Amino acid sequence: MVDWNPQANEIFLQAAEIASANDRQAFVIRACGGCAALLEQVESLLAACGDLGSFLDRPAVDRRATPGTADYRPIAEGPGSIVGPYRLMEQIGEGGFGLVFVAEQLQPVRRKVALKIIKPGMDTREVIARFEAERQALALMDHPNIARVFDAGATESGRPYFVMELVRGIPIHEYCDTQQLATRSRLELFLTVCQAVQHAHTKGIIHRDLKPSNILVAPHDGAPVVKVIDFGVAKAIGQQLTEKTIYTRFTQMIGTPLYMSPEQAEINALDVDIRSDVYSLGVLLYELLTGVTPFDRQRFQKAAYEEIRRIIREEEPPKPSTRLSTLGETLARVSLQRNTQPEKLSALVRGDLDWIVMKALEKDRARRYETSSAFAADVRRYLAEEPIEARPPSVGYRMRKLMRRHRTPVIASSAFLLVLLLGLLGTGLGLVQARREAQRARLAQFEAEQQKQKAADEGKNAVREKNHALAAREGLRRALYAAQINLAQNAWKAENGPHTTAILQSVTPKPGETDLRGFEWRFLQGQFQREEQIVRIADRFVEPALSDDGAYVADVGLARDQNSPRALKVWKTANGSEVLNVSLSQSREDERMATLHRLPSMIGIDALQFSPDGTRLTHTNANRIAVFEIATGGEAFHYDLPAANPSASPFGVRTGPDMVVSPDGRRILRLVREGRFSRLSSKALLIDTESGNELRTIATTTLGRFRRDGGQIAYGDPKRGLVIEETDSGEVVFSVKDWSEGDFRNSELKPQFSPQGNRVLAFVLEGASPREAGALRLAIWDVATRARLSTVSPIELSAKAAWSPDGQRIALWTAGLQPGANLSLVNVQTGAEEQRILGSATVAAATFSPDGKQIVVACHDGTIRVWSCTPESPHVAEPRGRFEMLAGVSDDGRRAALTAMLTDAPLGGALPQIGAGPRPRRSGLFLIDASGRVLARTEEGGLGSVLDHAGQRVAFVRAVPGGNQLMLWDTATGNSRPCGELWRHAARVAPALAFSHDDTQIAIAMPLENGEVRKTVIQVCDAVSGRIMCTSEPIDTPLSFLAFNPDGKTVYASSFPTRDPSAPSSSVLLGLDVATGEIRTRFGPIALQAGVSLSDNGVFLAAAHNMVQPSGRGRAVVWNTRHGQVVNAFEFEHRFVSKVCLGPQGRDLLLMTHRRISGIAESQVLVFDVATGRERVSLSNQGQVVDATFSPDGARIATLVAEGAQGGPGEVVLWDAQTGRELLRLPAETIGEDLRFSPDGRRLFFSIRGARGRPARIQSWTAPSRPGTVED
Amino acid sequence: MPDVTHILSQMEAGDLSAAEQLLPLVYDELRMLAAARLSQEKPGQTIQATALVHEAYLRLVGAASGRSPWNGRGHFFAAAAEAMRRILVERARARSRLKHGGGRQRCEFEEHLAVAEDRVEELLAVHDALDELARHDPQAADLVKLRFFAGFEHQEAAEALGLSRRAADRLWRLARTWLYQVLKDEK
Repeated sequence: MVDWNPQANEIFLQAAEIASANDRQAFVIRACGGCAALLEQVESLLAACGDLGSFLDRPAVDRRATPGTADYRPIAEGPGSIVGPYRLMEQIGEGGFGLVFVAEQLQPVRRKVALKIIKPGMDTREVIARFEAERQALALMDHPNIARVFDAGATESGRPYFVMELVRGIPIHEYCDTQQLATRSRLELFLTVCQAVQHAHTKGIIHRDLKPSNILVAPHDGAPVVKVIDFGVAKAIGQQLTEKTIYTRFTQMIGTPLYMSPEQAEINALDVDIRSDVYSLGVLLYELLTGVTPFDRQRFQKAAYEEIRRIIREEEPPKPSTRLSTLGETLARVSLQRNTQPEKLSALVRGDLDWIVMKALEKDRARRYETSSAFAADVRRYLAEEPIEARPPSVGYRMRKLMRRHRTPVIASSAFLLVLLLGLLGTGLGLVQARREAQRARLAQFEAEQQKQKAADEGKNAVREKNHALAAREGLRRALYAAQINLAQNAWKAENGPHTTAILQSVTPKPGETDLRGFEWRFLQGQFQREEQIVRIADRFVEPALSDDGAYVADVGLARDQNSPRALKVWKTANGSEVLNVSLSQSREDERMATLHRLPSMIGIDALQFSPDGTRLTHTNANRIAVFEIATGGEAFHYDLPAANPSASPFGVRTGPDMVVSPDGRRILRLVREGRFSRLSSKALLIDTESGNELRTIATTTLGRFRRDGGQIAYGDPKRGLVIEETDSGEVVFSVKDWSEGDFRNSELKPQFSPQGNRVLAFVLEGASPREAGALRLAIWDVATRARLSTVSPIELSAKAAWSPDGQRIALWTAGLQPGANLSLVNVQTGAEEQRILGSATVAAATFSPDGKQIVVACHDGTIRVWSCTPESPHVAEPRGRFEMLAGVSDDGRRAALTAMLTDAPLGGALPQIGAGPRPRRSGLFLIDASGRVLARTEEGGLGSVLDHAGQRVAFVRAVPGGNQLMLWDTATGNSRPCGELWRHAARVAPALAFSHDDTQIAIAMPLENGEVRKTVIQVCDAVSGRIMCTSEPIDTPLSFLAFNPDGKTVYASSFPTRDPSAPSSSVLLGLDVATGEIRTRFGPIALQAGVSLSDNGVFLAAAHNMVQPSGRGRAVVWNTRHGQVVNAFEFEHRFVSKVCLGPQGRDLLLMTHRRISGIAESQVLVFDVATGRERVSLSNQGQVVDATFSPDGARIATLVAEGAQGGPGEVVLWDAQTGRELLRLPAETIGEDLRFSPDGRRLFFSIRGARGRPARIQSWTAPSRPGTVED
Repeated sequence: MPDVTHILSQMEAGDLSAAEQLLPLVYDELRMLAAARLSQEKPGQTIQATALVHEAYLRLVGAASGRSPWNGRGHFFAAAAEAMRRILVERARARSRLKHGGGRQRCEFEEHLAVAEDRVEELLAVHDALDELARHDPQAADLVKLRFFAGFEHQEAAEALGLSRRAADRLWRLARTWLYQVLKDEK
């Protein structure tokens, strides 16, 4: 029974005009005002409207049926007519495209044939031309199971016809059913069909319209003979799934979309191959097994054209066995037709037959059987009880289920508003994204399947098999983990806190499982506001109210059933203790609604409001205002609406009660509506609470709001705009309408006074043009000056706002409707968003703490959460000089040293001179923090500088008269002092510098020149006293790499990386004994050094050679530093290596490689297992990899990828080091260098060189806590 | 024989019972017109329903003296649409009888109205639900009759009923949605 409810109709019609689904939803919920029955009706109308398709759009009489349009005339030929050389006899069939007759061929031979005349709507010439094109191929077909096609032509009236071998058979499924063929016999018959189709395929003919009515079975000598008819016909007709073909010949055509492959359902189904027939055969087998097609016939009949196409291309049909289980009563008949019992049939089909059919029905044809003979072979294997080729896609199902779980739950039947609101969570992800997720997940699923397959295929050795199975399971878990993290990442980008948190929780390891979570998990988790406090109060909040100071929360729960009363409760937010519990009697309005919609009213129209001092709570419903003392729980007073004067509402739609009481309780404002629809008039009455007397009447259509002290009322008026008047005198003190009105009027405005009463905010709909639906904005005015201070835009339709106690900020959130759990803090003066809080639960109500430093939120999940809301004032770093260069970042990534050419006036002291340029240039050194704030500066600087690991001291070389001096700048004291000796004959080349791991020693590799002779000397100094520890003998090559062994006893040094094959001998790698200054080890030889890395434990040293000859392959070597022996050597296809990096404990070796293929740079990161020498993963990036590094635990690899040229935007990508699977992508504003994790794994950062007008800085991401310490 | 113009003016004045007299007149006129047309056309041709209705209107109302032809237009077209509906339903029923083994009938003019072969069931289903819609919102039902049974274009139908384009859009959407719900509900 479908109701007719004018009110629901009106809301529906308005809603149907709103384009955005979110806005529409918001509108509907608002307009239904909490009436669940109404909401259900409107939702049902909207749903039906969405399903309409072309329903009724085409008249039952054909509008185009004007005389003379031959195309639409019915077929005039009938028995007796002569068509070409054929004489029509009886009509034997009516197919999708036309009528089929038995015809007598008169010449050259006398025989009976089948003649098919095509129905109206086809271009005859085209049809015949297409048939002619395939005639040759058709003639080549010679198969006992294929009906031959002899001829085609046009009738006298201009219709195309086809002449075929006459087959007097019945459709295969009917034959099977009437003969009660068992499944086995059906399969055997099906094999014959496959053979016939295969024959055609080998002749290059694709059928394109395989369906039971084209596969006939005729008894021949007592045995059934299958004949596939209509080969070549579909192609000639050029049949495609178009709107026209569906709607002009719907009932007859219906068979076709049901058997149509996804690629045929594409708009331009040009690319159709034999696998399309494989699909149709899959549908046929499905039907032979279950009696029904994969997609529901009825559903296709009703669905719109676009929808049918979508279903075919996107929807996964149920497995045959699943479909059987949903047949209900029909199953008995279906089983009988298969000469078996329902249980037996289901058991028979479940498993192998399911997988065989599903493989044929794969959306992606690459995953179907390649040919119909491959399809047949698998069926034959099944019949022979051999293992089949098709595989259960169990992982796929798991993935899909997983994804479904995180998508929108569709709740249709529930009458609960709240449930509905919660149901909306998740829709925001959007379809596109969902598809992308699905793609990624499918990829992961595919890989996981491969892993599983690999494991399944592996050997006969039981132990090996077990190990492989374990490894495969681990691989599977990792694949699932990566897919989940991808989902979480997308949810995070969509600002959907609850969704993200839920996904992150789902990958928490179960007991006994390894914890796969890493930086990416902690990072995503860290993106959401960390609650300072969570108090669980109720199962859920419906429409809670918070006291201004956040100390109390009140809510009216849902009634358990129709007869039980709803309870108004107040709790302390600090500990969740209940301080008030009142049973509410049903208001008359609630009853009216309940009667009207014959539904239990379990939610009502309530408004809750705390007094500003938080001592009293006002509950308002349609008839009564009741004020409760929170301390005593008693009712302070109540006011009942006069029974004789019920307040009529336009459609019975209510967004809240029509009464409001002033915060001081002295006055009541009541809206009275009279008339209906267009003749509606309304006014507000001001009532004295104590006496109940009406003090005055206000001409307004909306209910006003009182100022906190009750002295003024603000209300919205369609004509006058926002009006503020003195409560008692009615004197208008403010009236503005400085907005252009959108099509969608919103005169309610919902004004809210600031706590000081000097400002007022309101929600206005401003439209660009009168016809355009307006965008909702939040506008803030100064009451005294009537000037609009600021505007916040755009905001969601159901947005709510709360003033901060100082009136300087506004918290803005969207209750219930948004998938995300966002709360914005907006600056009142500027309207700018100062802070955006992503929470992990959806905000229902919010208020500031009295000091304004915290936000207390009541979430729909029944919790109270306290969030810190002191916005970090964003620091905009100014360039400190020209040519900024980062001189190093501390280990924790929080501090960086940089040098710059100073542009401002000297701070005093002598000018440090650098270089021999004509003008003295001053250089400065700065210590900055991660946000770019300058922590310390000195007007010194020079050639080369390095920051120590702790971020405390900077070593630099100053040019002084007579030579170079190594200096140490202590950033804490600001003092600089010399370290080691004065270097005479120093070359004006920056020396390499390095601090020891404990920052107690500093090594310098100073280039010296004496005439033409260039040497380099390594010196190690005590970084505290400046004393020289050792000095090496002069080394012939300049050095670029210096690193201390963690034990501080050895310094490793290497020459500059080079790509110049003309100087291969210049590369050295050596170890210097700090105690003696002797070169203890020489590693190598290295030709064309391409990078050096020392493992974190100091045991391994790695270097890569960019060697062109003789092998043409690159080579990397890992040595043991203790004895200088080669541990392993690695060869790789020749590429240029730009970085070598040893993982933790030297277990893994990472090589960053590049090559250029036809002008396109391609980067690949290769990871080798140092012990076995095997390549473990290779990470292929789109774009150029600029840097790559291991996480401290070795479980992750981070790469910095440039999207385009240097200086452009890029990304940091996080990978699973085990599997090479991508986990997280973080956008980087610009490309930098030196990508690193902090030693505790909490920060990931890289440094950005300065550029003109842009300061050097660190870009970093933080993943706050380790897994396990997050949930408490 | 009552004068169509007179009936229409009665209806304008609020006497809705006059509609009962209008329908048979329009119905007869339509049949007569169709028969006349058919005698001039070649066999096997079809007649455009919309054209018939318009022609009937001109004959019955447009020529009436002393009155603006546009008065009572909505009532007339509503009646014409209702007549077309009945004609089509008769035909559809006849067709479905035929399908279930009934004999061939004499070639009547309804045969020549191009009811799409596959629309018979849909037509009958809509017909059944339409009476219920008419009880709730007669104008919505009239709109459906005009568009679905008489083959009027949307704009034409809106004008015939004296509706603004927007009002007709809304009414059409509501009518379609509601009927769709009803038909779905029955299944």
